Amino acid sequence: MVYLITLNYLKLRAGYATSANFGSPYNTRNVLNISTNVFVDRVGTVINSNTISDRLANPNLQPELLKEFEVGVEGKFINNRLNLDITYYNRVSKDQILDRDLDPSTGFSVTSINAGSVRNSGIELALGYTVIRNKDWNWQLDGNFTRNRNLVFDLPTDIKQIGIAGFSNEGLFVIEGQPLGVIQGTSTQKDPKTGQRIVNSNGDYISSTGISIIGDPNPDYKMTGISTLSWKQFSFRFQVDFTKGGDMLAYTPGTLIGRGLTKDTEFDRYLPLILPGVKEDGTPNDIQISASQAYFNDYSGFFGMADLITYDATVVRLREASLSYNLPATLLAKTPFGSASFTISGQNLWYNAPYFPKHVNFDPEVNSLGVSNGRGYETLAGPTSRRIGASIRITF
Amino acid sequence: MKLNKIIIGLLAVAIMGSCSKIADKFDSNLNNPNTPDPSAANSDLYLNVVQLSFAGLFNTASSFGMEVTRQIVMYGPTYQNAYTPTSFDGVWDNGYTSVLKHANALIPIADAQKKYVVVGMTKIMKAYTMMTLVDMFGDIPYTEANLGSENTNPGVESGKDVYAKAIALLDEAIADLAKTPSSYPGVTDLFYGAANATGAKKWVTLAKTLKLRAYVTTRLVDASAKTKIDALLTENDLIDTPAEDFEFKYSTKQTNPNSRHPRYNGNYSSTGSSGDYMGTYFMWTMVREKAAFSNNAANDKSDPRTRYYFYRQRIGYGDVNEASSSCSVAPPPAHYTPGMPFCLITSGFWGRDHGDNTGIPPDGSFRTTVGIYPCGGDFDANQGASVGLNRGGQGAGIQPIWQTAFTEFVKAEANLTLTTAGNARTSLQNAVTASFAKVIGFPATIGVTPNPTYVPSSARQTQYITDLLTAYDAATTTDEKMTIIGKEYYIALWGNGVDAYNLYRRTGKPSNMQLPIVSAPGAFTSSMYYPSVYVNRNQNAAQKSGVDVHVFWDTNPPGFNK
Repeated sequence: MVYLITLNYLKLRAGYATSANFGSPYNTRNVLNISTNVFVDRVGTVINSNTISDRLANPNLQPELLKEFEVGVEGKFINNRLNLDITYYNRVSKDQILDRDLDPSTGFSVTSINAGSVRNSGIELALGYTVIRNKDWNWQLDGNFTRNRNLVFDLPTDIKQIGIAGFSNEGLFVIEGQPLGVIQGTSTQKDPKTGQRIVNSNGDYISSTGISIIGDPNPDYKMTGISTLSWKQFSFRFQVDFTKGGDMLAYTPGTLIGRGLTKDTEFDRYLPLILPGVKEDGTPNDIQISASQAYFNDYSGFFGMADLITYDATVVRLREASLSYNLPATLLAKTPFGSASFTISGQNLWYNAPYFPKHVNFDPEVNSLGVSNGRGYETLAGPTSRRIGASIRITF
Repeated sequence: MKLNKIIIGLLAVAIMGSCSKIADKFDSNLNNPNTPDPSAANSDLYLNVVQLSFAGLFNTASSFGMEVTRQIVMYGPTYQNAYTPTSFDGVWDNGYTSVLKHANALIPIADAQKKYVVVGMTKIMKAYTMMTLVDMFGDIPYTEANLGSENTNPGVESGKDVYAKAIALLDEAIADLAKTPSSYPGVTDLFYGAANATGAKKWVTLAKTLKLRAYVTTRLVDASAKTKIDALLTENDLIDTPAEDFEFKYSTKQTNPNSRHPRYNGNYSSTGSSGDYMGTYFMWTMVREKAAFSNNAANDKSDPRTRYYFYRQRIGYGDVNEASSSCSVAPPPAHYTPGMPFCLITSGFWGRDHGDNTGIPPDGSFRTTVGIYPCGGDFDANQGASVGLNRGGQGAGIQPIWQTAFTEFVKAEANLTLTTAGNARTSLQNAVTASFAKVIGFPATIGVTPNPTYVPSSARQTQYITDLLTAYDAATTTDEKMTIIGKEYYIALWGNGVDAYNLYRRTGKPSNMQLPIVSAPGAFTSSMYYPSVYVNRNQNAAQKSGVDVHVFWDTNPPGFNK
């Protein structure tokens, strides 16, 4: 009954929305490209050409349809000190318009298609609590939790898979019955009996000839915690983010450790190594190889075997911390200023991705492919930056 | 009531009719206003793209062949790891979406316009492309390929069937070229410049020579090869003069657009650093195996083509140290037989061993690179200077797709192995003579005069051929004779890895190839992996079990090639 008394606010909501997306124009008719000056022969004749575009027209392209269903509860309790917001959503994109890469032996390399459906469903939870609230002190804690699950289904039956980022043999793919953007690449061959990796007679792992699913870039869940503490005119705020799970095929760590550039390989390199695994006849591997061979040929990922450079991208991060001071209104009363404040803040101050090689200090938040669906595939992207700044804000 | 129904019915029909009219009216809006419809294509412009992409396909396929046959380096280290399926995406894409697609579009257009020479040319290039794809990959999509949306998952067809269709296409081309065309291609023919009936005849000669080539290539699986080859030899309309040589010719234009030989582009850079590594074995076989090279032209007994084939950036080993050439301080691999070339050869010939995948040292300005033939590079006159932009032939190289010498070599092989008409010894002599004439005469065709001190004298050329024929006469068995013919053919094929690769798989020659530097390189690449774009985007595609899968005409036992 105590809780009922302290219930200040309660809202239940439910929503349903639908909308359509249209593909870019002119994808339904084949076109001819005209190129001039493609070659000049020995007597100076300029050669021009006509080429049939490699994009195969799809005259049956339809708009895609989005449907979303959402229910939620929002409430405030204990004198508005505790607030809570829970949402469940289920979003289905039907007939998604995607570029499907074609086997060039069809005569074309890409076409726009209506590519089945993607379902995203998940929970978003927000919780806030005001720990202290009095004349001088205010301390507010906020937390967010997000969990999303997605699934690809109803992919047209003539499609093996669709690559959405990366290359034809490595990157992120849309595959029937799998989460969106699963990571595929070559992997080390494994002994079917023991599941151990197989080494060849040179002592190196053997790469698979084909590609298979080696990871799912979608995180298990994400959490954010924010603390805002203020005392008189000062306020101190920080935010911590945590992402659990989600895989990443990353070339930066392999490139560094493959060349022995980080402390991860700072052991006695004159000692021979034996890669864990079995030989081709199934007996335990006992072939000694040099550290350089082990790291350059195998752990670098340079020669296929992308599973060796696919990591769990769990990361915890101090996203932001800031300290501000607001000038009291009384001090400003005789000035033309309405308010004035000073802030020192830092962004991306610290992170730890525990499953990557320790000394590479790799940040899984980098993205090689810009703003895209390319999360989980990294090919030597520049590192993320730590920013520290100070600001003065004055209003009139 | 009845009347009402009729009126409603009529109205419905009228509305539907008007709707479809509306659809018609807006249908044209679906056409991209910035690009024309394929029906507006011009046959000459299609012919241009077929020829250019055909030359590109040959260059790519040739590079892979040159690598596995040690003409240039294959990094390896094992045959399985040497290439990934993505290595072949380019050649597959170029073959199907460029050469074959445009050839298929061009043939009916040119046929309707009675441009029969264009039809014949296109069919010949299409046939060569089909055979080259089979030579590389084995079974490939053909009948189900290039159908666009009608079949987005083309299935494969046996290499044997594709070869048969390619040979049938060559016959069709010969028939087309016999008809009187409405016009001749002239300058739009980038190979022969066929401006009249005599020029067009060269394409007929080419088609017949390519049939000879195909019959020799497939001789291990074709019981009637002797009869077919004899028929062609009796007809004797084969490429046997330099004017008939089938070569794609690049020019010296550096930019807008870059029209130089692709291998020149990669090796004669402004940075003074070359890109390709020459194969240690290939250089060794020319400058050490038979007779030693010398920087002093008077004492030089090496292959007369050496200074045309290679350009040494350094004429000695002064820049060799453990950083620039790590193999120079290492012993030869334990599994190498005595005498097998390894690392340094002589006089600054600086290449890379077969299957050496160690990191690339800072040797770009020291290593030996391509010479003037066939890439249009520099003639080696002991300059000892690093490469640079616009040196030598300035990139006016050729793709030696088929030459007189090759015809003579396959005639020698056919005579030796199938007892076809002719004389293998004479053919060998003609072949080497033709190769010398082609290579030594090449600089003049692109306006370069090599330093006469280093141009091999005719006496030296004659001596080489005399020594060669003496060795041939001393050979007693067919295999020993084939070893000599195969080695010479292999040397003459510099720049044509397609036929060098076929030769090695078919005959196992050269027989003393340098082994890969790792002791267990796995089975030789008897065919290439299927490309990633094919395996990963086509439901009917499956990657082969390994690179040891033989193509249909290669019945040699496992382990035949090393």
